[in-house]
Amino acid sequence: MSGPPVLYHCPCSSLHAPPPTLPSASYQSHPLDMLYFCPECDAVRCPRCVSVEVSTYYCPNCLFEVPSASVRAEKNRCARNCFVCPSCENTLQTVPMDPSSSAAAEGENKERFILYCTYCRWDSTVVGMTFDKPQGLASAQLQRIEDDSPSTRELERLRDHFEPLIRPRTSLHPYHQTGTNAAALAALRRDRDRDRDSHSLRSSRLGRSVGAGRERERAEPREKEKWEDDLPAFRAMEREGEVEEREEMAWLRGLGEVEEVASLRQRATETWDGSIRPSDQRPLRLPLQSKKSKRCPACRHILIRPEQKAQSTKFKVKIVASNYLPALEVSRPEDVAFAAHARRRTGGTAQGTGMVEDLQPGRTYHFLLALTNPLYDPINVRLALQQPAETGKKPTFAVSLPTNTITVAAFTDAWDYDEDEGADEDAGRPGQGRDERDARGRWKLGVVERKANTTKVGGELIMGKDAQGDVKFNLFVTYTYKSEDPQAAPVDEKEGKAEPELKTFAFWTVVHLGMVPPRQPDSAVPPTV
Amino acid sequence: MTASASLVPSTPLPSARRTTFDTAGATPSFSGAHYSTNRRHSLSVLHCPLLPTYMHSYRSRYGTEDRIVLDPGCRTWRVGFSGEGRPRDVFQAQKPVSFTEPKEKDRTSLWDLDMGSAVDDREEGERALYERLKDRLRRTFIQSLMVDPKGRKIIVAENPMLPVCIKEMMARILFKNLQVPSVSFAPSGLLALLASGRTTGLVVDIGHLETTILPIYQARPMYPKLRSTPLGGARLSSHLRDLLLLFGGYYAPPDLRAPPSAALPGLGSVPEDVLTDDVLEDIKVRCCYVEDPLPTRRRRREVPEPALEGDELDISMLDAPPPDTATSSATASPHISETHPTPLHALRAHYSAHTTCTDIQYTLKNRGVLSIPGWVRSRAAELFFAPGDVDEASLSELILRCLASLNADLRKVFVDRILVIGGTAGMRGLIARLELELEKMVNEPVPSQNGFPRHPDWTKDPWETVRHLKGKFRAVNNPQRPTGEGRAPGWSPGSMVWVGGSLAGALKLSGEEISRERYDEAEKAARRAAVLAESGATEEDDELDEDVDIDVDEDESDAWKRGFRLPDWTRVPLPQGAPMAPRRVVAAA
Repeated sequence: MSGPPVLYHCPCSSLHAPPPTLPSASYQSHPLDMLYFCPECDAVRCPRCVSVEVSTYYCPNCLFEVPSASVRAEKNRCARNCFVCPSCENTLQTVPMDPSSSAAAEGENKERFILYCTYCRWDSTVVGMTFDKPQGLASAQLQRIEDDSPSTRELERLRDHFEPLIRPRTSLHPYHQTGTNAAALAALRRDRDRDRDSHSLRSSRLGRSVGAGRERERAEPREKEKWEDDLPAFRAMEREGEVEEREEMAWLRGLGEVEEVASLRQRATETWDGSIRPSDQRPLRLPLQSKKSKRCPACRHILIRPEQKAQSTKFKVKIVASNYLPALEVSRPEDVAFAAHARRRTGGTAQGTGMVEDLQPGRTYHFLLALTNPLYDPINVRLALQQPAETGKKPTFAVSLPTNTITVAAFTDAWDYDEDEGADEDAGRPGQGRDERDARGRWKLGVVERKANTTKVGGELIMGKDAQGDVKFNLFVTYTYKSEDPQAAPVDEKEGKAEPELKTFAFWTVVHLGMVPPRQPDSAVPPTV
Repeated sequence: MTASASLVPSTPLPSARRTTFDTAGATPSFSGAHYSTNRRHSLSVLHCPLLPTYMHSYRSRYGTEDRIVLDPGCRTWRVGFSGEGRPRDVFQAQKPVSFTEPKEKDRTSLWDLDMGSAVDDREEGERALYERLKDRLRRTFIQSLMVDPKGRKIIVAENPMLPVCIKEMMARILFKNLQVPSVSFAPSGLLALLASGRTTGLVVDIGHLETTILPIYQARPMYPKLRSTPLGGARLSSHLRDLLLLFGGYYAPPDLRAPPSAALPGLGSVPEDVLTDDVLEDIKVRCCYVEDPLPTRRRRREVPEPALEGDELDISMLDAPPPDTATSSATASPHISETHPTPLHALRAHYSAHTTCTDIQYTLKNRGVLSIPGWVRSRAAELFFAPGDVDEASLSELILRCLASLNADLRKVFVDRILVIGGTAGMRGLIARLELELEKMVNEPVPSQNGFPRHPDWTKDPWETVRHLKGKFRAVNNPQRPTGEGRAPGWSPGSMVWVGGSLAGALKLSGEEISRERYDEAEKAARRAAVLAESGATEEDDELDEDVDIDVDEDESDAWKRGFRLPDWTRVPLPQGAPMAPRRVVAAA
């Protein structure tokens, strides 16, 4: 029935909407339900420009709210019992190791626990992990393994290795502040430092090219083995228990199943060049998620504040654009019959075939634009089309829309609407309404239907002969509403308080009417020589 | 700069793209007595990225805040906190990172080599890239790290070939959209070297779009010796695609509506649309490895076939256009047809007879089964070692060229300190093979010159100056060497840059730090200047200067072009007495 949503332009990137056919334009407009509204700045804000703060961290599996102090230490992962299966990314369960044998062994030994994937049947005995108790696996046991991983240890060793190189230089800092000649002094010291640090290697290898003055610094070549350029050679950690690359290649050579090799995704975050077999992949603690509050980037006004509790889906503050801006929806009455059986709603990238009939070049189409008012007062809306850019090509289609002011009734509770208006709801789906055509049966440019807080206007689309691709255009919507805020007009008090000030707000939208299917290749491609 | 074994590396662009090589507005940040001693010799040290910050590091030593380390590639982004052994998150940047982002099916990298071939396209392409970068940087902070960016200092690893415009876009997004307090850019090669425990080495970064080679001497990148070739993960993917289209097999999924008597579909040729970027990537990661070269004597013994003359095989010339050109995915490559044997067929004849590698059945998601011949698995990466030409040197040629361009003393320094990084280098056997190829090239005479024209200089032996280095070539992170003897730690080649960034952050090192105040001031000044210039006023109109409405209506995604000029190696003024450009190059131009 209705095509892809009308997209609303957010002025964070550019004040005016770019021509919608440009690739960058699609990044600047959003569906209405994605947008926020800052009442202070009186401006639309989008997910690309609001500033985001984390208000709660929680584990998506156990819904435990993690205090932010321990989030850092736990590396944004659940510190309780939630793990991700290394082979299928499902969450793992903690189960007793073997129910049958545990009963027999109960006398002499405690029951042991393993992690088990209910989806792919992976279990942690594959990597030799069993646990004494079913709680606190992550903090007590897995974290120890992570902290002891080769990557962590080697990074510590590298840190210790480089620390002495930096310290003597940083100690120069106090001199650096003292005066104008300090910089030169520091540079000198640095120079001397370097000569001292670089030891023999530098002078012996570069001495000749640097100059004869350095010859005296040439030291015994025996030093070479101990010093790697200007610092002692780093001795990498012994890699015990790791597969040799030659063996691994021999194994790859005889590989039968792709699944025997771990995918990139499974070892993405691992920095250590370890095994490529999935059987060596360890379970990961489940990454935490967060609830975010959002603020206006300009005035820091809070726009979204969720409730703290992880289980709650409510918001304490929710200032969204759909409560401020009239909602636009576009439909093509011709499609109704066609779309009746196309139930599936697809997203923003309707490929034409999904639910909206493809447009054909050279034809004339009609469409309905439904304006829905979310405010408690009636609004007056004016629509304006964007003038095509002067430099641009000739537009391949033309759109006509009513230019007069359109009144959209206020939003009230359902039972407050008039009886006869309520009857309209039974009149059937939009597009089958009564007012679409005027007395002579012609398509009416203008208001065709009013129902509750929705007004539908008819528009016309004339396709050029050479129209191609997506048919979408920018629409500038201006609406006038009564200001709710008495403070907003404190100066113009002469007319009295009884007359609330009328305010105007304007925004750009992108209306997508459909798509012209690509032509057959034989006609599109000019004959080649 | 990519995942452990990810074959999705980072991201350089060819030097031709760096059009902003200007010296006028450059900040002479690293001039000083420090370089006066070695200014004259040919080692042109332009830029010392670490040392200047030794001065800054005192201040922050007692800070508990860790920095945020970003390794943004054109395919893979690694993000995390400094001082940690692994990044918090690794994601594919060429894919949409949020469901609001427009989907582009054919996108295989976040940016590509022909960004902006036409001027109109360039501006528009840059604008779209700006928005894509914004989405990824916001995702980094909001989803991956879940921290408030306002309190965090950032280290960004930058490939020397990263276009300056991308750097400036990132700086603007970080400062303006995310409002971080400071950003510093650190050369990715140097970070990788730090992760290997040294400060001197020849860093070979096999990225997605190209391979870059940068010698770094005592933490000073020698940018004039930078070399690059467009061989990388993307080229390997398109080569693999061609090989599979020609020689792979495909079992279509059984048609469930067919009568039960119908035979199951047999082995057919591979349809083009099943070889998506993801599938190729997965095949590279999970099936491919790099086999040792065929012994030369066997090659000589073989009956000479017309298309098979050993070294004359030139894979790079036969390649389909790289995947980011629009044509390759849509139209069948004309040279792929069974009736006209191509040099790819010669490849098969050459390798398939001698392989012991098994064929693999690769199950596609709901799309049937792909049969990958064993020789394709083991020999797809031969692409990197096939003799190149003037424009595209092979990996081993590029390393030798870089070494040959160095000062004679420095060649000896770098020849046994080759560090191979980048996601593609994570392929098993690639680093060891590269070492072998280097030895082979300096040991063997240059093959005959017939075929297509090569570099004019190549009439004489191009490797004359490096032949004495034979037996000394060593990749420090070759996993086939025993531990000890100065072997680098066992980081996966793809993640070394990030690990180095993490280490640098933990040591409180970074490149030059740019604070938000500095950035904002410079931007304000630039805006004011722009407004003044527009209104025709001169700088003397003081009273006007104060009243200028600097909130000019400006496209936010274009604003990175003005304002603060980031320090960059292409913007450092040449040192006094720097040698002139070689006459040969001038004449050619």
